[in-house]
Amino acid sequence: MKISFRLSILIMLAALILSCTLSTRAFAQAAQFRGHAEVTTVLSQRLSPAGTPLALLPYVAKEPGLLNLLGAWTQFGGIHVFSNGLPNAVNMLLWYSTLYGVAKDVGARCNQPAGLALNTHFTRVLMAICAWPADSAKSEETMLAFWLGVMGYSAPEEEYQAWRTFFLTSSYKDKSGEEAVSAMTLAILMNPFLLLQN
Amino acid sequence: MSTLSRRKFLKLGLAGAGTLAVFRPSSLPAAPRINTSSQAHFYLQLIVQGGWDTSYLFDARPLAMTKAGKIQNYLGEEPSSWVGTNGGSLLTTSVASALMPFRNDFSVVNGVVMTPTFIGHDQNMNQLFTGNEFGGNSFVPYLNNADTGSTPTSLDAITSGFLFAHLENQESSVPLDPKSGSKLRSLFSALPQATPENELTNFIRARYQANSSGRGRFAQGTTLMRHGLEHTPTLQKVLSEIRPTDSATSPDMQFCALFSDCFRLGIARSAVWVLTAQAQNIDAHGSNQAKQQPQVLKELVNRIALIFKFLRETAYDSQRSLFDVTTVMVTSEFARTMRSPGVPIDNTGTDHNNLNNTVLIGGKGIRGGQIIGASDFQSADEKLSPAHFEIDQYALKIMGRPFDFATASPRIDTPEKFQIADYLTIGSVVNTIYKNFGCPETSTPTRKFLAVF
Repeated sequence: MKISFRLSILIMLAALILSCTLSTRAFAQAAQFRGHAEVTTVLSQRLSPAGTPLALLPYVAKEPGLLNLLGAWTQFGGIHVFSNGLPNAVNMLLWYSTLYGVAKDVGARCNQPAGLALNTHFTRVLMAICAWPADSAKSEETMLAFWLGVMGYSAPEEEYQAWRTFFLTSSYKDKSGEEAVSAMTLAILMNPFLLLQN
Repeated sequence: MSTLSRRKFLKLGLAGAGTLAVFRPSSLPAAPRINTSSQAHFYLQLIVQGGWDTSYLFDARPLAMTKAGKIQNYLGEEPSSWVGTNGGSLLTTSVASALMPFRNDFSVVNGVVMTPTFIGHDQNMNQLFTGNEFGGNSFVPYLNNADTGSTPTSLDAITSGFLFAHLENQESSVPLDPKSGSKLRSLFSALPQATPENELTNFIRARYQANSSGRGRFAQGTTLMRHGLEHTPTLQKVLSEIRPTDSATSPDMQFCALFSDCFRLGIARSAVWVLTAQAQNIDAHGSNQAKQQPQVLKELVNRIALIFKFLRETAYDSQRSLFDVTTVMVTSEFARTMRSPGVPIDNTGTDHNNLNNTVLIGGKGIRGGQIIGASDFQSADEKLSPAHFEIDQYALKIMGRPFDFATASPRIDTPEKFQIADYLTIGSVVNTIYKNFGCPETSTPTRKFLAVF
């Protein structure tokens, strides 16, 4: 069948409008949380010794229902859906509460070797920054190693620079190693580049 | 068969506003406010998921129809008549008897057409919540608009149970089961609040702000994180006030305690509770399942009655019960066919009937005791409309009767062609809820319900 020039223009125009509509719709979909399972995997790979993954369940009162509010895959019949992934006040509060607990336990390792199980590499990185507020802990090398140890390469450099500047200039610059490391850890863990699907 | 266009649906939805005439706005005096900046008004949605058999509830049929081989009846009792305060009538059975003491607390809406085109659970559940068979924005969050009484920190809804629907605007609707809810108190009591005075919180907020610009997915997600973080101090305070669950009570009563706390504390505007039968599935395709339905539905009705009792007997404040401040809707995604084809009437299951449903609606702003709408096939020899045969050619389904929105009563004519605008639909019921909550009838960027309904 021969398609006239005018018709072909109309078809192209319709296709363009359709593609714009579809892309606008996709654009309007906010990124969701990665969910507790993926965050657990990521943090375990970075912080934990092999065979001892970091468990988030103890940080949510050991209640699986609350863990699922951090974002989780659920199943109904043959359908799998990702639930509770869109950030809201409740899951933000739960993430804050959960990661506050994790960060506190990471900071506590500065003074308690028997605390949270950490892998050898991260323990070495952690101990270096636990010397805070000593100058050695504030060096570019030590802070970058700690940032990469928790965040990996998930975030752009601007995020690292903002984080470093904050801890070198805020009241945390003079705080104890445990307190500063807890806060530094929480600041990284609450970063959207770590928590959101990207 | 014609499909229902958005334009048609909108038209129907507006026509459905005619049913509003039968519901009177509450004439109670203004009440003191509790933890909200506006008049207290909440919404409770009870969903009996699976597709309930309304012929055992408030849309029963005489045993003569079973003898004629038209409709299964494993209860084996002649239904009794109930005439509503508005003159409408229906047949009911002993299965629904536990709700009769509350008959003046709710109205029955019968003959409600769900989607005329699709018969799937999800498509009809989508139709109920979004006005679209394929899902979209749920109506429930729109009840939480700022100008209808929402506080900034109030969640749109708490939900419990898996709802088989595709709902998009759920960023402020939170699945919260009673067990989890009761643990929030201990979880948050020792947590430092993420207040603006907190230097670290301000840094985190600043990173969210820095990454919120633009319309990309990541920026939008970060924006939601920022909004969420801003509300966490207030939310933390009120969530920690949720009372511990009494594990000795039933799951229904535990959820009642949870949503009443959430309403009282201004945590959520609505609650959605998915009721599933404990003993047997209500999606009774097989004859063995169908034979269990009188007992299964009786158990569900008893549970619904206990929820009504809870609403009636639980004080919201010194002057009002929870029922006085809560609008309640009880329904399922659809009803059941009268029988399956090609099997004996005393050994048949039932299938999905999207052309008829029963909705119970009561509470704040709703005049109870009425019976609105009706379904066809009231007798074995009733002459069905050509419109009925157009979409149910084997006459296995009971179908809603045409509805006169001007008089809010069922019509007796038998239309030649099926046109959705002739019928009372779930969209009309939802529009009633909208009106009940004072939702504006004009579409704005923040209120898109007219685009859906």
